Amino acid sequence: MNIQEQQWVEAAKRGDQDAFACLVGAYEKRVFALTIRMCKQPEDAAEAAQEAFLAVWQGLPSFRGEASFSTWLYRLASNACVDILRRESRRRETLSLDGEEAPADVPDRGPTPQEAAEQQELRREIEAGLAALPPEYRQALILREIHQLSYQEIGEALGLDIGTVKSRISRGRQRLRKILLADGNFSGWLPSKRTEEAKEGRL
Amino acid sequence: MNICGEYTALLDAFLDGELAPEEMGGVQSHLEACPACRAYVDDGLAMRAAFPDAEDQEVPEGFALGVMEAVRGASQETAPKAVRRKTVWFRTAASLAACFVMVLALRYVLPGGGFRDVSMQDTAGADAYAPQMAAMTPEADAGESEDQWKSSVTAYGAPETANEEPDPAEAAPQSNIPESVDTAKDARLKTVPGAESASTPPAIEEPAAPEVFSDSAAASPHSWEELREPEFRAVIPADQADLLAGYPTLTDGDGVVWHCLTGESYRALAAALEARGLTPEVPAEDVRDGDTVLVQAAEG
Repeated sequence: MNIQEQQWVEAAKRGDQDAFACLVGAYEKRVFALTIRMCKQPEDAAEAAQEAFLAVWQGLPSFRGEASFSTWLYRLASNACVDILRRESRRRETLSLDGEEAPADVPDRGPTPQEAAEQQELRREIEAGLAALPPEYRQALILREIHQLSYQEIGEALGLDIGTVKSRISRGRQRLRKILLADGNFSGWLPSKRTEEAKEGRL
Repeated sequence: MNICGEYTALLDAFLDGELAPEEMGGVQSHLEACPACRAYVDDGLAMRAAFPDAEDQEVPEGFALGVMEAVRGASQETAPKAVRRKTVWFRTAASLAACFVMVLALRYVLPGGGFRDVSMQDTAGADAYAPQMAAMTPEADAGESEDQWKSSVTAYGAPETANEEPDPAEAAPQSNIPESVDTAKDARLKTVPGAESASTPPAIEEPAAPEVFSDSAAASPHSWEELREPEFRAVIPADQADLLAGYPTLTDGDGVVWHCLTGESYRALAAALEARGLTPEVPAEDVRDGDTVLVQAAEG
């Protein structure tokens, strides 16, 4: 967290709404990066994100900084996702819908027109692979790979001990790798796959 | 290709930079010797490269605006009705109120109600005033500290009536804020530094003994909040927009982009403008470290 953000947290604690608005502006992408992949539906993701920021605003007066601000924010975002998913799964039960969901359409400003189509394909495959993971593995992997949190920080954000964090990341990564290697469509961009294809004379 | 059982736990820690330095060497030499584990690590790095950047994440338009509407709504719910009053924007009125509060404080807090330790003639400028004000922030509950005057700061510069997405329940309590208030505030922010500058408060505004003042703050937190400076908006010429690169932005309901600066960063911006021969419309001296300044780069 940079100095600017620290000052905004201090000011927002004093009730400064402009400072809080700046924190929202500074963190909204990171919060969405988590909620959109955990909630799937864009409206649910937006609702969870807003709930998270609202919870921050209401909790700021008693936030003493035991955890870092960002870790606390991700924890609130993760809790908001759990609440919404729980609500949605109850709703789906009554509607008796299939539990399988299509991967969320994750809007991404990343690929420019000039960017190789291959990069877009990689992204699509990673997103599809992530969506196919059990939520607890997916969540740990997102915080590790997208938010670059340490094991310790992930533990604080998710309320888990480090051992559990390690095992979820490890299992999540292994499973994601299996999915990507097994996918018949993908271009074999994983090094091990290329090695296999090279050995089999397919490259 | 299956990774070696004994290294299973270590490879992920290796990938995530969570190994102790003494463990690194062991894993590295193993990787040189074991193709299966090497493949796992290489795949892990390739997957990492393919993961999207949080910075590339698209966020629905108006999201921040929606959050601030909800924040304002939440804050107003907890503000005691008795203290909802019109914002006192004008410098003179605020100074008079400050003076009045100080007089009351001194009368009731100092033994004998006298002024003997208080210099009412101190002519130090806003900077002397400011740090004391900042230091004396009461530890108010966030809900209670949300006075009407704060809620009247339309975070994105547009008068309330121009809000395109009114939530009736939340917009209603703010409707008693006259448009002229915001106009007056904006006009004040745009005045040229000088005689009309808001930067020099009247002399009698100076609080002398912090402990006296904080007592009065505890006694009447809401009047203290009214004395606090409203937050700042500033506009710089569009061709100076390069100075705003890198700051987080907020987009208001009209699509206007505001850059979020702290007091410190605003002062740096003001200095940069002056170095380019321009005069910042909000003087740097007006802005304290703890302030938030929203800056727009606009034509004309």
